[in-house]
Amino acid sequence: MNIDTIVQAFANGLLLGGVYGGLAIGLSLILGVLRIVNIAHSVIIIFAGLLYWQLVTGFGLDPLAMILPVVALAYLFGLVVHRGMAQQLAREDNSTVMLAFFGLLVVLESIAVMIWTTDTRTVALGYLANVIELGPISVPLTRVVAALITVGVLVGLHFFLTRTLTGSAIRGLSQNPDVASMVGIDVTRLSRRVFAAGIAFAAFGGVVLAMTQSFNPQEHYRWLAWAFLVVILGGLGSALRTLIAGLIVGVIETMVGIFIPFQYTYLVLYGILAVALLVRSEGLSGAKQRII
Amino acid sequence: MSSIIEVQGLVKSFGGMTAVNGASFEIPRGGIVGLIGPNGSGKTTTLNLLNGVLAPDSGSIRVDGEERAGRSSTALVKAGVTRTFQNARVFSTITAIENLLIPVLHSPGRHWTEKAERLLEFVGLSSHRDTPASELSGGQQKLLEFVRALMTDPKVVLMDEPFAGVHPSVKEVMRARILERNAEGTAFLIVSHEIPDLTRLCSSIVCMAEGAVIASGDPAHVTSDPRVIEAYLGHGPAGRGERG
Repeated sequence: MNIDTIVQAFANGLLLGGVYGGLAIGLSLILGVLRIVNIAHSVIIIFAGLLYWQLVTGFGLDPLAMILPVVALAYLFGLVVHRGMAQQLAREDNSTVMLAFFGLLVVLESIAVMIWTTDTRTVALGYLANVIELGPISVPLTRVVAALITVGVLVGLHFFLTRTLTGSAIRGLSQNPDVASMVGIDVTRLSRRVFAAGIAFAAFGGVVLAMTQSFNPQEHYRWLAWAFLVVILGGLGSALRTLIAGLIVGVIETMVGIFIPFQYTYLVLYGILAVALLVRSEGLSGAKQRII
Repeated sequence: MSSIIEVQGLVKSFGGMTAVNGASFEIPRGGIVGLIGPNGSGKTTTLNLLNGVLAPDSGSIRVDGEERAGRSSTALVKAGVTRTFQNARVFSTITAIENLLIPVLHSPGRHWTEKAERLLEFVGLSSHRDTPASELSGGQQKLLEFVRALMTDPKVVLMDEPFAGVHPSVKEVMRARILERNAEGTAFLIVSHEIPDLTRLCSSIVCMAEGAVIASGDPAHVTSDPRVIEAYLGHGPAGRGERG
């Protein structure tokens, strides 16, 4: 094995990790701020990916220009789901909420299969379907674009949460929704926006997934596990830690793949996660308390 | 109209236990009212009813003449009722000034920052403007929570044990600032076990026992009322003997 192989695997891992960060941030936001375990997160990823596929490959629209419409539609969908479901379940116990979201997952998966069947889809990205040669390594342009957009989005979210008043209020809401209400925050309205943003970020994850991988409507459980892995590793601390956790998972996955057969990669990753949680149960954050 | 808050026949039960049992009292516009009573007398439940944390089973809460019983905390803040807690509930992971700006999130404007800075100065926390609230002392957190309650220019501030567990110097700052705000027209309802502090501060005192108001009026009159003394000290030896 030469050094070029390792460098190539590392580069692939970073790009893959960027995508993983994008897959996980919506889950982290909704869980961290609203304490809702959105089991339907992965089906939203896949639904958005399929919608993106329809727009770009089905209708031949521009792959970069179609990112925002898909994310915006998901935001509106999030507003509706919050009003119609999450808000109604606000005072229910976690198991009831999880069951309700599992129901949403089944409904959305069924709709996706009805519309797009169970075929595996690959988005034809036109002018983005090139390969960049950087010395000894070569990387697909789509992965570079997807990773760069994800990094931009997550860094932007980090600054929004830490440098704006609304971000401070979201962190306050995360810490104590009852007190947030008592100081005058319209908690329902802010929660709805956070929830919708979480759904929009899930859809964003679906778009970057669709840009970089083939996928089908029924494999979303795999991405749910991956998103949870990143969230648990990063902790519910911040967008930046979610990104870093995604990068770590991506790099480990590709580096481990050099040395052992691919099918054992998951075993290694979840083994590392189990050990990490035993040693450092709060994830990368090192904090006993969430700050988003 | 002379009262900013009028409470009539307030009742709140939890299962078989009646925490507030027909309480009636008033907070005069621009007044400072002390709410006293032994542990379990229903004081904190009353505060929770007044600021919308709990909805009463029956009874009336009129704020500035409008019926507000059962309205949400957010609605009551808009109506001019804010609140502090026995253990300061600041948002610990954000800075002092951000804590003050959160209540005005929905009405953005640069003037709020200036107002928040003035309020921090008001209680001597200017140097902690950008300090995360978790790094402030317990007393400083109480002061921060106090000025957070003032950000929206409330008509009345409900304060639960503002003097409990704080350094005497913080207590003095709190007392002085309450009086200053009161002089500008803000009314206060203060729950406290520290009766000497209350009698110095309040224009009137309401005493509760077993969920009901047993005395109200001038501080000297209420604190010498035999029913109040009995509520605090319990029945005499004969009384205890009677209850067996």
